[in-house]
Amino acid sequence: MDQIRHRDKQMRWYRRIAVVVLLCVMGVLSLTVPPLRAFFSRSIYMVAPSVWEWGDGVGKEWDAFFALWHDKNVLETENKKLQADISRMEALVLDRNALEQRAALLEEMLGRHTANVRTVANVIFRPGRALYDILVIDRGEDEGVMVGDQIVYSGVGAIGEVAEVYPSSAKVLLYSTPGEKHDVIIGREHPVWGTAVGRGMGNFEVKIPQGSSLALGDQVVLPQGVVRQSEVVLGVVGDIEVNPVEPFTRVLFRTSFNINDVHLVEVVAPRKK
Amino acid sequence: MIAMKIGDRIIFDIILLIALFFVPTWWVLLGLGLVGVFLFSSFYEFIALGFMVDILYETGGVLGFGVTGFLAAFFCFFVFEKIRREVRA
Repeated sequence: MDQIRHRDKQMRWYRRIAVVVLLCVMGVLSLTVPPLRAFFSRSIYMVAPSVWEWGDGVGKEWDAFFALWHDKNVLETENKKLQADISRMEALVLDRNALEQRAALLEEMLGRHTANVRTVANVIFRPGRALYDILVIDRGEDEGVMVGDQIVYSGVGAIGEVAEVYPSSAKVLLYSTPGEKHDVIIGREHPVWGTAVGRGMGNFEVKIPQGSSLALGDQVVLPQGVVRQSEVVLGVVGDIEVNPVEPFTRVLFRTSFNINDVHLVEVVAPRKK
Repeated sequence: MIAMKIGDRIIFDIILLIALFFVPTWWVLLGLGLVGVFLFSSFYEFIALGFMVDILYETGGVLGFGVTGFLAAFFCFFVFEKIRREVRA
């Protein structure tokens, strides 16, 4: 009797192990086999963007509700400051637009026509709220977005590339995702090539040979290929660590804007031939 | 009593879903999931949570396969389920 009970217990135990192993294998296969992963991704992303947009809407209503209790003087001061900032930025944008037109004219004269296809998109999910450095935009296959399209902020600030596309949204992998590597050029007067490694949330690290002439504030750009033709700024040098014992210099740079404050981006597709 | 427990579990699942979409920091989800493992028996929703984290937020994790959340949840579930059985026995 005891033997039968022991055998039953063993069988139950083996059955449990088998179910566990089967569940694990099914889960891993669902996540690694591209068609299965795409099926689950598309299913969840049919709902997820609406949930995030609803959450953003609720958050704004919440902020507006609590703004009623703010001191009127504080609100007036804040309003004046914001209006002054807007005026200053409008002037900067005019200057930038003029420079952009001159650059486009010069490139046209040199026979390098840079007519990329650009689509404006709202960011509906930002990094910093998830373990991984991704953001989600509200443009997808229906608007012509494809895997590999570059995501740019303010026209020239590179953020990342489209990693997965769904009918009406897309998941963007940031260049600064920990472990991601990209070739970059640092500085303008004496440019130095290097490989930037992402450290998360817009931060990067690159090791360059000792003795390279760099300065704080130097721009770091992504060299683009023949298809995209124009350089895109990845960040600005923030810190340079020199250790005489080591053969290289450690350069830390970050994007010149806060990725968490990005609400509107451009999806840059390679020029269609 | 059983109906109440089922109701509690459903409410907890809803809280987990809300956290998944609006507070997906790993330590919040891990903490909530482990609380669920301790409170409810066979809390497989924790493994489903790990799966959804990978689908929603991952593009290529372990060796580029994007299974970090699922495997972490799987491992944590069985370890803490065992601890729970020992503590509550």
